[in-house]
Amino acid sequence: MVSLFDPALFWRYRHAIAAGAAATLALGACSVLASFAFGLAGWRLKTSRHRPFAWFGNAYVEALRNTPDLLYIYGLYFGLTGVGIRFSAFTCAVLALGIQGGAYVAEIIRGAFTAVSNEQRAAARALSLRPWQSLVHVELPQMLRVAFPALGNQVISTLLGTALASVIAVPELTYQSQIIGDSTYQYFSVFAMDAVIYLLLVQILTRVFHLIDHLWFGKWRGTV
Amino acid sequence: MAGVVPYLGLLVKGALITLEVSALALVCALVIGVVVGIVATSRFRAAQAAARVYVELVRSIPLLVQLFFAYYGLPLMFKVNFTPYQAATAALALYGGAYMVEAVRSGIQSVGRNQWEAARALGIGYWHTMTYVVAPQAIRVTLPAAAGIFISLLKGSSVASIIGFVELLQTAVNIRNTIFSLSPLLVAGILYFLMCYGLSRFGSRVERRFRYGGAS
Repeated sequence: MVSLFDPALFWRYRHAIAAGAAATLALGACSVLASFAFGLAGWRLKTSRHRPFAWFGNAYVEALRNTPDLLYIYGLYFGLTGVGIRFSAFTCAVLALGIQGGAYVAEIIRGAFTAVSNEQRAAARALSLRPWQSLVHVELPQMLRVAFPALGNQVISTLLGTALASVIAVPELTYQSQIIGDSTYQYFSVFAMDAVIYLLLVQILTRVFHLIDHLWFGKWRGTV
Repeated sequence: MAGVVPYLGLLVKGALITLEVSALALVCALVIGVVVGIVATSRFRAAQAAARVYVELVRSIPLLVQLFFAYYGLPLMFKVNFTPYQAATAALALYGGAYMVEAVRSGIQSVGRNQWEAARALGIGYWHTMTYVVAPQAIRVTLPAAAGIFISLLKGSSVASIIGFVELLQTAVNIRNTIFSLSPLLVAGILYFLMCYGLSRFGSRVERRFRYGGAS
């Protein structure tokens, strides 16, 4: 019997749901770390003084931003096994989401650095700071303030992207929901619960990011 | 690599289906965006809150889950049956609509308060102000954003392959399963890139053209 909302269902499958939520968080965390690593690499390449590197960095960012992430999940999953590399579905999903997210992270970092005015750099040089000192003490703090909200949004969209990993059977939240739905036919209740869990995760993350932004950068609001 | 050549026609057909669904969803999203966007900038608190809830809901739930909900959840509950095509279009329209609401809202808000007051002083009503004063200026902000939303829809429509909608990505996966080569996915990637990159170039051209003080 299909009912609108069946609380007993969630109690019965609480372990699967909790495991799914935990897997979603783990997948999200790994993918976010991977996307930051790829993003930093992409940004370094993009802003390189050597033409081929810069070209490659640009190509990476543009190609990845203009193609769907599901393509990379399938591509890596089928492609790596095709050449004899056996990665788990989890690793494939982390790589795919990391490569995709990295393109956006690279753009965010580049954009935030252009927001730091050249006068700041010149002033740091005039005070005879070394380039790395200028980077760490002058540019980075200002750049982070610009980048932080955008990076927060990027983290959230990577977390939402983890739902796609269900197509290669990573046992995360959406995959577990599908399994429960398939065995009980309570698709409505199951996907409603699924949606609520994502909603809670995203809302909590958003609040935390706002709080960090406020505590960290609040006192500089409205300056340069 | 050569194995994919006989299937190129199929892949292009898949790209056209992707384009069709995304365009249809974009038109619906525009309607949703304009209506809800105007509501969101109105003075009615309850309407503002409702618009906010809609936008937050769509932006906090993965598109895949929204699609599953539309395709598996609603039919069982309300005895309606959607084809994958209908479910995909509806879910993408609601998804794009939420982003469009934000685009329309920021467009309207980019027009200064004093313009409303000037129109008010000239005895122009709300709707005439909206149509002849605010909308032509809001479009500078909204249109480039709409190009970005179209790109998200093109990419997002690939998710609909999971509910069995045969568009570009599903076509590529089906061909891969026949010829056991990654080349169809590569071709699909190139087709996605051509569509999305073209659109993003168009978007930035519109943005440049509409810039205040720029040549127009």
